[in-house]
Amino acid sequence: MMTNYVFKLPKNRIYEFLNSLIAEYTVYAPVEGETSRFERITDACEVQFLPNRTDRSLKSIFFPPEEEFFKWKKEKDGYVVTDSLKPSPKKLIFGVRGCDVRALDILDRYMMGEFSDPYYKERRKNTVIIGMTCDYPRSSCFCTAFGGMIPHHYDLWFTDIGAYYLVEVGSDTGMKLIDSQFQKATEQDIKRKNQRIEKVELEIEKQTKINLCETKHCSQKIKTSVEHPMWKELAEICLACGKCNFICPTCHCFDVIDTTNLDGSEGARMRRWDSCHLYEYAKTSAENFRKERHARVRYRVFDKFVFPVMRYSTYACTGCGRCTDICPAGIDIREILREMIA
Amino acid sequence: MNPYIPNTAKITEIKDETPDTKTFTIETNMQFRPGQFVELSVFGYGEAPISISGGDGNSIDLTIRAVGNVTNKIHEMQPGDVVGLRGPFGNGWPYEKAKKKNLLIVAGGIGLAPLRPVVEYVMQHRAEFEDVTLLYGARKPSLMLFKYRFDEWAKKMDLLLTVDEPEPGWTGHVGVVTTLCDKIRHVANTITLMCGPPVMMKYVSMLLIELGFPPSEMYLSLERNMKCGIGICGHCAVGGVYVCRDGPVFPLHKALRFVEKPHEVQGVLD
Repeated sequence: MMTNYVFKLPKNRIYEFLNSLIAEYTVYAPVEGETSRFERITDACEVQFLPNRTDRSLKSIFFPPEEEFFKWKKEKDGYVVTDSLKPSPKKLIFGVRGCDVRALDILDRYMMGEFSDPYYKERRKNTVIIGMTCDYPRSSCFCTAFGGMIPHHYDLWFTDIGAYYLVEVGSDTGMKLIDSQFQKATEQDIKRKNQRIEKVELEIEKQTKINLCETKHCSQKIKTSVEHPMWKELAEICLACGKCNFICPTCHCFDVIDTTNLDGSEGARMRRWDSCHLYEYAKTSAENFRKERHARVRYRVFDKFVFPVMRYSTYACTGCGRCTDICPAGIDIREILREMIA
Repeated sequence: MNPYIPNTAKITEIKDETPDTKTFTIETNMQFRPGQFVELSVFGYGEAPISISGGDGNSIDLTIRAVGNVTNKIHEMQPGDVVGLRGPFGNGWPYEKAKKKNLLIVAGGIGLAPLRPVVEYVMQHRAEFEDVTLLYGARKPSLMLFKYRFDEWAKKMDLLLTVDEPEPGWTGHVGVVTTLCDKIRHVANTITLMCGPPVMMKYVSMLLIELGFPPSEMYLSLERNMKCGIGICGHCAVGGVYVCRDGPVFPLHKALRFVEKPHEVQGVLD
């Protein structure tokens, strides 16, 4: 990482900078509607400078809720199958928070690591990440449990230091984006940035009161909680609605379904997001292997904090807190973790 | 190569096995290991994971019970109709481990389908193995698969059959598969392969362990709802493994150590 390369950009130059990016990339940035999310922008004035993470993560940019694998068409002597995989444009995502950058790293391990998903890979390649430090946390945030607000990988990282953004360069690609509008940062600027980050992280820590940084150790602790009475207690209040799965930036389960026209002569194969909380999820023709709700509640927590550590040496949670915000039953993942780690 | 795109393939032959099960021979040059499975497409109806029950390099056999959307539809199809195939997927049976050893095969119901390629391998390479025993149980005699092969198989191995409910004309053993286990001749130096309903595998595992079979030499094939076949969609995940990629065949001692104990072995060694 090129931590020596630290610049600053006057805040009033940000629109100019963003428009220069839009000229070269398909740019996604935070936009506020009914929910705040990343959307494609065609002019810098569409960007919303939010104080912290968006309601929705980046997931659906790379892994949309519904996606077509291929089209099929009945011919005289069988079927013609046409791959729906299309080349994806060069993307740049502006204003990403640390939790969501980490989430992308995790999704990459699932989708382009040991096993490879061509549709995800096509969308994900050549994606430039410009991250941003949060001004203050949401009440559900707990990224400090995973190492704090600043992730390991990014191309550029912006921190609001008053009249300027302090800009850290994290890659060669990021360096190429630095133009004449950027000035060299001073020691004072860097100090101000560090103070800013420390202040926000301290706030997050206060509301988190949990540290999962000892990955192996914590994962091991959670692993031994298979028979913990908490699972059945949670199952009493969990609605098994699956909202936590859909909002999660790293949940990536999907169902595979066919569509067809009325006479069955043509159609498509699709995938659609699925949820391990749903009753049907682990059902086969013979048996339902997670019929009991508590088994599904436990499975999801294990699939965030135990199984991915065994397989990919990482949690599949980033502390974004979206599952806590969205849960209609008010289940707070931090409380579950405190119970298990304590 | 896009792993989600199936190859189209023609059904060349359909054989009735039981009132609800047929064996489809499908034209394909797919090479497979006994115990692997394919994702079978019936276009417009979807995909289902199906074990390969035979094959010769020019075709594969899929023995399919009509229980769902895709499987009911393929039961309506005729020779000449076209389906889609992806695969083969999974690790397959470690039958080579049984060479110069005894081989015990335990199957229940449709669980014989993924084991049949091993049985046919034994038929062609009988000398590679010591004692070979096949225990096969079904609910009723009319629900047994591959009955037309039994006479041949019996010439080269101990074929022990049992049914839960006899039907007129059945003169064989009656009772669940475990009631046949006292007829197994060798415990030492034996590799066991088993596939069947979860409850069957559980009780067979318990009994074999009691008889002295080491769990590390017993292998079981887990049935899960593999949707993608390539370790991504999550449906077949159990206790941190993907049945589609890490399995479907697991040695019993490993299955017992899964963080989330599979139903098939719940209660075993507890």
